[in-house]
Amino acid sequence: MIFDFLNAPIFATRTAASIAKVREAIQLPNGRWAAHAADAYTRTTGWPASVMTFGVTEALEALSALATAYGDRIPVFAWLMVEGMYIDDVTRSARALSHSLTVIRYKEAFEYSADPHGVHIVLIDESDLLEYPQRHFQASQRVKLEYPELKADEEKALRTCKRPLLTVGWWAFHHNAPDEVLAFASGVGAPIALLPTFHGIRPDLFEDFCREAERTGVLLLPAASIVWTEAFISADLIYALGGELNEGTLYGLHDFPWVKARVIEQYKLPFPGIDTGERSRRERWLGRIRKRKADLRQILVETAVKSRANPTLDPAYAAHAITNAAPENTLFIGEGNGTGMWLWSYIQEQSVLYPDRMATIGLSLAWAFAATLAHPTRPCWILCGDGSLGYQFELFQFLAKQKQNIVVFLFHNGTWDSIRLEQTFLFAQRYPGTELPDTDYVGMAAQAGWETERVTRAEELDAILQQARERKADAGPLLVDIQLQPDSIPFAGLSFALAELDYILKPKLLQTAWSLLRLKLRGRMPWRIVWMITRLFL
Amino acid sequence: MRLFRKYRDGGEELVDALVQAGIDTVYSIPGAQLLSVWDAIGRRNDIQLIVPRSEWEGVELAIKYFQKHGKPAVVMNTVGPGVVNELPALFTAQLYKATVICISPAQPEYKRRRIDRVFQGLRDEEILGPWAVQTQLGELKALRNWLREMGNSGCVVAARVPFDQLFR
Repeated sequence: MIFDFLNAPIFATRTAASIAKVREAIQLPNGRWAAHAADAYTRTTGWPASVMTFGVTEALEALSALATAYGDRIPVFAWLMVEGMYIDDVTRSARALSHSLTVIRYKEAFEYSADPHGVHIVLIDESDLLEYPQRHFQASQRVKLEYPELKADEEKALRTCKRPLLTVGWWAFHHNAPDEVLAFASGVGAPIALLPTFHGIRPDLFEDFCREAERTGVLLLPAASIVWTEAFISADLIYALGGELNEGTLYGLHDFPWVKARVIEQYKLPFPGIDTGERSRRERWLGRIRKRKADLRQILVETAVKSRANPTLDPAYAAHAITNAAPENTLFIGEGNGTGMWLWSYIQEQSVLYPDRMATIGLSLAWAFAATLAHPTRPCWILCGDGSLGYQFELFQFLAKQKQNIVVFLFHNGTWDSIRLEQTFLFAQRYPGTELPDTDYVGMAAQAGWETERVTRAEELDAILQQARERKADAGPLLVDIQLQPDSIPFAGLSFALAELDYILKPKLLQTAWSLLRLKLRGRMPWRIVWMITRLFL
Repeated sequence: MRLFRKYRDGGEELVDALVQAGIDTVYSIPGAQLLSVWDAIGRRNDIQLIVPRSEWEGVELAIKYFQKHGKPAVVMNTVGPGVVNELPALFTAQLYKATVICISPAQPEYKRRRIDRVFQGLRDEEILGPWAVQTQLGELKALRNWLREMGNSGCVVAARVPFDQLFR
């Protein structure tokens, strides 16, 4: 196998696997799904997987999917074999989506020495392949990792700040041991805000870390929860370890910057540890955040339980019931949509794969396939909206053949809900274009060979969840079509929606204020959300 | 609320320009940055909004539209993965020599440096560049002239409008 040295699988299209004679390649229907699968495999194992395509169309499909890996700095290798006449064009497109210098000829492959934190694209002229069919790549990794030292003023800020917050991203454990991270948080007196990509690191590593944090009393804040957002707003120093902050993490909003704190972005911890002189104030802050976390959790659970009595199924109840019923070792998959917001509302310290920086939709089935391939004994539960499932019909048959334990909980409300949420903010009651056609997802999945269930009431969902818990590792895919009411507003994840409205909120400030007031008056928006949004404008 | 609609926003200006250029069909997957355009289309009956299953399907439908009617349709998708998802279908349009007009919102240039690699900061025009005859990141006013000139040129064209202009 020519890619032995990578020690991770190659996800390839059928043509590519056959042309390159890579028998061990895992074949997917097209370049897009192959690239998404390689991305998910890397996220959940830490080993950079590869995607291999043949021809311009497949290369462009792969590039469109690699944008997600590029955003989160996931190290995926892409081997794109392209006809010579198009190679310069593909190179130009690829350059915008790669952290590594794009290598444009087969002979030069692996002569890279660029930033290792991200996507590496190797473009291969297919005529070169014919010329050197037996040649093996010479792996000459000349990667030098250099990290900036903590500057004197940053160190001083770390010593003197009153409300420090440590955030951990996907790369946090690649350069620091988990116990070092906990020791640092404990020493500095900072809560740890888990970034969405951190929930998607190797699941056993994640679980050990959460257990150890609980044992040592370090406070963890699950990504995108309300208390997480509040911690970002009220911190005066943020040490971002192994992953930069962005719009989604409330950093850098132009119209209304939420985060006022100084941000230090680093891949390594400043050891030896930093001795601080602000212990008592920090402990008061930590205590306050800890209490808020418990209070908000209680409110969320109460809201979900209360909504169980509604005549139609409420997404709050569905999200709570699913996250609560999942076996401990479940790997969740979310997407950048309204359903993703519901998932983040109720998730706790659990493994979640999520496309953070690109907020991509339409990838969860390919991700589930690769994640289950990496961790075959773990159940994989997807929370997916009906808009995003529409992107993925062509994977139905493919997944049916795989016999993996994948459960898709389809939040079926017939609308583009996260967009309607933004329309609600901006235009009160005008919702052009955001209704989805009535689609029989259950029928389509059943035709492809899936197990399917349709759920309209809470009791039915509870029964299905019990069945889902008991599924075996080779049970095959199950689609649970949960019929929900549209236009419900998720508690958490609002940070994502509001970040997306940067540059838009300010000119529409009056409309937004009026819409919020209407929502409140109609009892559709809790005061704490109104307050959170109002703080933006203060 | 009429009270808040005493002035026209960039979305309405853009839709005006499309209608004046003879465009009557827009294929679009929703995104926050396009909402003012969607809202403007929703209030008119001389232009229709069709929401396809995916961005690439939108481009494929626009190719079919061109082949059937002999005039271009507009494909409008949001920043980041939305625009990038058009890529393979744009190549198909190029092969068929179909005029497809892709308009997408863009991050204002002065903000891009701060949010590199977030979906709003993705340099879509560099990614789409080789597959389209392209205008620069431009003013709405420039787009209006450009739409008039392009006509049925038989090629894929892409324009990007900074989204602060769409909501001003």
